[in-house]
Amino acid sequence: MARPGRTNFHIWLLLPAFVFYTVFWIAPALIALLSSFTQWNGISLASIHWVGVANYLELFDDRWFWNALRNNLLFVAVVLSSIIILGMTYALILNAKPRGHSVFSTIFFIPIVLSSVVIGLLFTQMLSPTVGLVGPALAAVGIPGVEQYQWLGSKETALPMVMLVYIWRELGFAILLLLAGLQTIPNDYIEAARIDGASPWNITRHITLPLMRPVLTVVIVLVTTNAFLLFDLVIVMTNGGPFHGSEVLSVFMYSQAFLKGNPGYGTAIAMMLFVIILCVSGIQLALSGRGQKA
Amino acid sequence: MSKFRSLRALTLAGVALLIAHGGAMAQTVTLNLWSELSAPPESTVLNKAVEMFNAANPGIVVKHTSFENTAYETALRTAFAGGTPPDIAEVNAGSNAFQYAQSGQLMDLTDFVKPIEEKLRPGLETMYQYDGKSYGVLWGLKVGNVLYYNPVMLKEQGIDPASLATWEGFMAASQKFLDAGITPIAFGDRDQWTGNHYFNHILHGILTKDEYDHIGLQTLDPSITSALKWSDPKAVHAWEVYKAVADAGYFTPGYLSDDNDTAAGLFFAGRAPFYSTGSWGVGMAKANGAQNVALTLFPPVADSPEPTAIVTNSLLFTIPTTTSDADAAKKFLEFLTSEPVQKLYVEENFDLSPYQYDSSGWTMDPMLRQIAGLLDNAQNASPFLDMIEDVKCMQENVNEANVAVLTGDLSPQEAGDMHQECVTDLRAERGW
Repeated sequence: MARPGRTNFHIWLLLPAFVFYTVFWIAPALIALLSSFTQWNGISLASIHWVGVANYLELFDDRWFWNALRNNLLFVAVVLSSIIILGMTYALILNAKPRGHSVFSTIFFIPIVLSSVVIGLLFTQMLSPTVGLVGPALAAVGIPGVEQYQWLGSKETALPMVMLVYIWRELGFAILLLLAGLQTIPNDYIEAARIDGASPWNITRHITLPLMRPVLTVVIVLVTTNAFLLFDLVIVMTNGGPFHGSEVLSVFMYSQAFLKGNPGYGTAIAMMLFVIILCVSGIQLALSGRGQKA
Repeated sequence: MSKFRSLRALTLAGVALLIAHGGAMAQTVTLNLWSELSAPPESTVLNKAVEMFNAANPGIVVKHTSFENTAYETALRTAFAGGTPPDIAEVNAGSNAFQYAQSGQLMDLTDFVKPIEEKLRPGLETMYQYDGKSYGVLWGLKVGNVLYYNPVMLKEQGIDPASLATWEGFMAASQKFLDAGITPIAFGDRDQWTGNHYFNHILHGILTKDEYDHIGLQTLDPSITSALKWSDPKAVHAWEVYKAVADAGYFTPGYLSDDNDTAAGLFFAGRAPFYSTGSWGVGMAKANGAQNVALTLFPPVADSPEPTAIVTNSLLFTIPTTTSDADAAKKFLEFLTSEPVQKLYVEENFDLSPYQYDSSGWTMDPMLRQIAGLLDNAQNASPFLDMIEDVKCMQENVNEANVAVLTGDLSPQEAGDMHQECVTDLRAERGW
């Protein structure tokens, strides 16, 4: 029984969100989990066979799973380090409000409002050896042998090109968050350090970065999670190719579930991806929390 | 009092009208039709056909819902899995339709289709017959193995278009262009289906109809076995020829990274003299406003057993077992195969009809008429391989293997061995 003066009104306010979350997230996730222990054709419920952990065991023997995982880890490592280093550098510069900083801010933020598919198509055309601008431009500045190079059709460059485009797209968002974080640091701290004779590097290292830790943690977790879930850019730019060269886990999952008619196996890959992201994010949060306590 | 009487009479009349209207409503059957034909001219033609049917059949209302191409398969699968498919469904003929048939989700239409078969071009049964039963009617017919060329560019190099009738002639012409500094074949396999089609046409030229049909259908139909194995030299030769074309430098430089639209754009812009795609290329040429476009049959590889054979593709209209009114749905399917609807399809869709109507009086693009001639002169017709092979073996061992052969990750023999292993495992897994 509710105590006098207290109502259950908050429960009614939360109920729509709870129902929505349950119906559209928790229930499908549970169905996907169950599906990962089955083999079926994705068409008829009568075709479902319970296979236990067979899909997961098969994953460990599947060289394309390891290939996709390796690509994913490489992608996350390169993208995360680039975005954090570049994002922090640009945020520090923009925070100092140099001349024209608002123009640069706008330029950095434009990719955020563009659709991934549009960005992917745009860069696919630019990188095309037949109709693109990149090859001829590089040749014009004296780089030999690249005028008709298949940037997206070569195993050596397909994934790095997707990384570059991804960094270009996500950098603005990271700068936005980091800049907001920088602007919350009280100016008094920096002024006091300056009066005490601290160099700009020491101010950054001993004042700015420690105070930025919570924002950096958010950025790192968001970038890592999004990078692990990368799908749209790969599908548009390389379709996972050539011959699995740029295939990441989400693309591998899609290929198995929808192109090769193995929805059970596909959901097992999705579950593995979920566990990997959960572990990586957990480790990041734990490390960040330990740093804060110290 | 008289006012009350009038009101009562009016109420009674209203009730009588409602009952009469309700009765009429009860007699009207509404059928939901789903298709992936969401873009003109295909969507326009189907919508017109639906309007014609509804006007001619007052008791039946067909409601057409179209989905964007890539979203359609997911929507349809989900609907079937959830037990709520439409009353009439359009599906890709062949293996795609057979998945639903295998699951017992489609009505057996064998008896209904029999009289329709009498007007069907021969050799197309493999597209809708599974395990001896028929599961739908074909809508439109596409010819796959067509080579488009730029006659002006050929003339500039002194190449006789007639020489393209053979593989040797095609390769010699390609070499002549390459020597002149022009990369001859516009090709982009980023999405893998284009490579699938190229390989398909080469393989189709090497094998006999029986060999070709059986090597694919053995993964779908337990009663069919194939004496020819994918690892046999004859099948492996198809990958060797495919790789040789790439290694010779005949494909445009973005052959692994460009998509089909980019490749088509190069051809229509006169930057490459050759481009292979199906009969739908006629519509693409019109849409691009391309002037210098001519066509011939995709050149059969040397010593081809059936050099005029055709590769075909079609859509199938099927009736799910859960349909609300099977007789009304059959009536609509029969209507789709009728002469006025097929004429509409051919005239407005730049495509052919699978039915043998006298089309001499129909308005057809000259290039389309030429393709109809290729079809009439063909020794036989077979569907695309991806329509007659299970997707479990097709995607990895044709679409992906083709790329691997071009990148050097797989040798042609390794591609053949891998494909055969998949087929053997699949048949063993199903106890065939």
